[in-house]
Amino acid sequence: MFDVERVRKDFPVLKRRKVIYLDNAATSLKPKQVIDVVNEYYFEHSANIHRGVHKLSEEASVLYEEAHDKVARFINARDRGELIFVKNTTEAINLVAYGLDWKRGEEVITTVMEHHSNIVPWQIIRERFGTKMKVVGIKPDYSLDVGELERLITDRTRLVTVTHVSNVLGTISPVNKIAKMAHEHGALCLVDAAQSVPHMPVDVKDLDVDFLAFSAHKMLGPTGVGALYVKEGLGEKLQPTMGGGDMIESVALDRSTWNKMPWKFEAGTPNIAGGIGFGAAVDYLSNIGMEDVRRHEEDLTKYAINKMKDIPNVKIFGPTDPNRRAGIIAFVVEGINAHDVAMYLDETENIAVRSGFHCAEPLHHRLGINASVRVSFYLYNTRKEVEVFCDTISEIASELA
Amino acid sequence: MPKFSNKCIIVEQVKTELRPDTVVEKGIVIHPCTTERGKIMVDTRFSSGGLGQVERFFDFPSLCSILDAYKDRFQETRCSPSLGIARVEWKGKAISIFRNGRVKIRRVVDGKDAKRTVRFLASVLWGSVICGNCGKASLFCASGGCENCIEGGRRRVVRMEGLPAGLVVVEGYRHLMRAFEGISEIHGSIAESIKSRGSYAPSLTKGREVDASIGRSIHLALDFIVQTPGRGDAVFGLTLLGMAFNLRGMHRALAEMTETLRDVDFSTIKGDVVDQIHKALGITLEFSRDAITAYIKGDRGLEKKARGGYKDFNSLMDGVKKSVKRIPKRHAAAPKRLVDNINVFATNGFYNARIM
Repeated sequence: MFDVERVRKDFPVLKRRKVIYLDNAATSLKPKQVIDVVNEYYFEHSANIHRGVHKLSEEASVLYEEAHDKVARFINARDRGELIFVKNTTEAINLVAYGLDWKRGEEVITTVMEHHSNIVPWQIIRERFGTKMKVVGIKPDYSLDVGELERLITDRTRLVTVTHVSNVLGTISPVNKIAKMAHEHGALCLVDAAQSVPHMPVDVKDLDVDFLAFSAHKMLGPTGVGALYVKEGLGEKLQPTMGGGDMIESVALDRSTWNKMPWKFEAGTPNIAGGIGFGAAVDYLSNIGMEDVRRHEEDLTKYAINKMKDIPNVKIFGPTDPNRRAGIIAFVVEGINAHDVAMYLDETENIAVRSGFHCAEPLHHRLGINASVRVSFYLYNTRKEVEVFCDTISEIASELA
Repeated sequence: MPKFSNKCIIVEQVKTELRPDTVVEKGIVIHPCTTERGKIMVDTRFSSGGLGQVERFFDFPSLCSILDAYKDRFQETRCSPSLGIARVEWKGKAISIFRNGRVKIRRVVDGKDAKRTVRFLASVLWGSVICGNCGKASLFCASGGCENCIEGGRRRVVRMEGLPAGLVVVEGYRHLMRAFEGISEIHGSIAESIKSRGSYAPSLTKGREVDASIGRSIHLALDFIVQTPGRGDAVFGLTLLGMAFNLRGMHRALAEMTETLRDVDFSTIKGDVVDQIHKALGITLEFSRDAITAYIKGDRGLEKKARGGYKDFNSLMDGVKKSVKRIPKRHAAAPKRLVDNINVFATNGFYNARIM
C-alpha cells in the first residue's frame, strides 16, 4: 500500500528544509537509501572498475555492472548488453546522433514538443552531414499530431525521435504507434524518456523502440549519470563516439577493436559512484512499484488541474485528461512575468517551481508565450502541498495580476 | 524636531547595498534578463543595522498605502499585504518588493540605472521600513507613534522654507491642516449627534475632501523625501508622511464611529455616560489641534497643553470604559466599538504632540 508520508521520511531535504518541492521535472530529490549507497562506494569500495585484480576494484566492478542490470531490468531490457551508462539524457541522444553513419539527404523527424537536447543535435547533424530535419507539430488539444507524422515520414527517413512525455505540456506520446510507423518505413525510433521512465512503468519491449534515453537524477538517482537503451543488435551498427580506455578489445598502433556492449560506449573511467547510485534509485522505485508512483502522480495532477482551472487569470497548457498526461503542469498567470510568479511562490510559501522556457523554446513560440511556470510532481508530493500551491497561485493571480 | 534615539530606524537608515561608487558588490546580484535581452536584472536586499536580515523588513500595510498614494509616479502598482509582495513598474522597469526587504528589478539598462532605481525605491519605501526599536513602520517613529524612538532634551526648530525643496513640504503641511479642519467639522457633527442622542448623517463630500487633502499631503511628503538631497532633511518629509497617516487613522476612526452610531441604542446607555463620551470627544479634538499646531509652530506651550489634554482624556475614558462594560451584552457591541474608535482617534491625534 503506497504511503506518501512514509515515503517522505526517506528524503533528508524534506526533513531539513521547509520546502514544497514541485520542480521534479528539472531534478528529483534523493532518498537516504541512494545517498547511503553512493557514500558506501566511497567509504568501502573506492576503486576504479575493470582495471585492477585487487579486491576493491573487483567489488567496484561488480557493483557498477550490477547497476547496469538493475536499470536494464527496470525498463525490461534484456540485460546490461542493451544498456549504456552515459552522463545524462542529452549525452544519450547525442550518442545516437554521432554514432549513426549518416548519408546526405537522409531525414530525421522530430517534434515541436522536444527539449532542446532532442532538437539541437539534429541541427548539428544536418549541418555536418547534409541530412534533413522535419518537425511534427501538436494539435489544439496539445497532443502530438500523429497524422502529420504519417504525412512527413518517407522511405528516406532514417530516424524518428520523439519525447515520451513533454517536459512542458506533460503530454504522453503514443510511442509504440510511432515506433511502428518508423519501422514500417525502415527507420529507427529514438525516445527521449527523461520524463517518463521516472514516473510510470516503461517497457522497451512493449514500446518496441530502438533507442531510449533517460537520466538518473530525475528518478531519485545521482546527477551526472543516465542511460541509453540500445535494442539488441543495434549496438554493433553504432560507431563509438569517444575512444579511450575500457571501450576497446585490443589496441594496436594502426587499428583498434571495440569492446562488447555496453562498454564499447563507456570510454574512460565512468561515474562509478553515480552508476551504483542509479542502481539504488531503481531499487527504491521498484520497491515502491511504478504503478503506484504513476497512480499517485495522476491523483495529484487531477487534483491540481481541477483547482487551477477555476482560478481567474491562470491559463494551463497541456491535455486536460490526467490519463493522457504526466504530472507536469505548465501555466501562465496573465499579466505577471513567469519568473516573477516563480519568485513569489518561493518567497511566500517556499514553493520551488521552474519558470522560463524549460529548454523548450520552440514549443513556447508555438504556444505564443514568452515563458511559462511549471509545476511537476513526484512520489513524495502530497495533496496538502498541491493545495498550498493552488491557494498561493490563486492569491497571486487575484492580488498581483 | 525631536532628537531620535540612535537605535531608531530613522537614524540608522536603510542600506540598499548599492553605494554610489560601485554597482556590483556583496549582497547584490546583477545578471542578464532572461526574457528581455540586452537588459539586466538586479536582485538586492534592503537592510539596516538594527534589523539585519529579517523576515519582516517592510510593514506591508504601510508600504501598500504609500504605493497607493504615490501610484501616479509608477506605470503600474499592485500590492498585497497578505502575500507581502508588491509589483510596481517604474520607468520601464519591473520591480518586485518582498516583505523581507528583497527587491528584484528587471529590465534595468545599466549600473547607473540600477543605482538610480534602488535609491528612488529606498526613498519612497523608507516610511514602511520596520523599526527594530519599536516594531512599527518608520513613518510612525517620525510622527510620534514610537515612544522609544524619541529622546528627551532640547528640540530643534527648523524653518522648512529654507530647506532644499522646502516649499514642497510646506505645501504638504498646508494640505495637512486643511485635512485637519475637515476632520474637525466631521468630528463636531458626530459629537453633536451623540449629545442629542440622534443618528448622524455623514457629509460624503466632506469625507472625500479630507481624503483628498490627506492623499495630497502624503504625496508631497514623498516628493520631498525623494527630492531633498540630505537624509537629515528628509526626516521632515517622513514626519509629514507619518502625521498624514495619523490623520488618516483619525479620519478612519471617525468613519467607523459614523457607522457605529447607527447601531447604538442610546436608551441602553446611562445619560451621564453619554455626556462623558461627548466630553471625551471634545477633549480629543482640542488636544489633537494643539498637538499639530505645536509641531508646525514649534510652540512648547501648546505641546504641554496637548499632553495634559491627553492625560485628562485617558482619566475620563477609564470611567467610560467601566460604564460601557456594564451595558447588557446584547446592546454592548456598538458602544464598545464607539469607545474603541474614540481611542484610535485620540491616540493618533496625540502622536503628533510627541514629536515636539
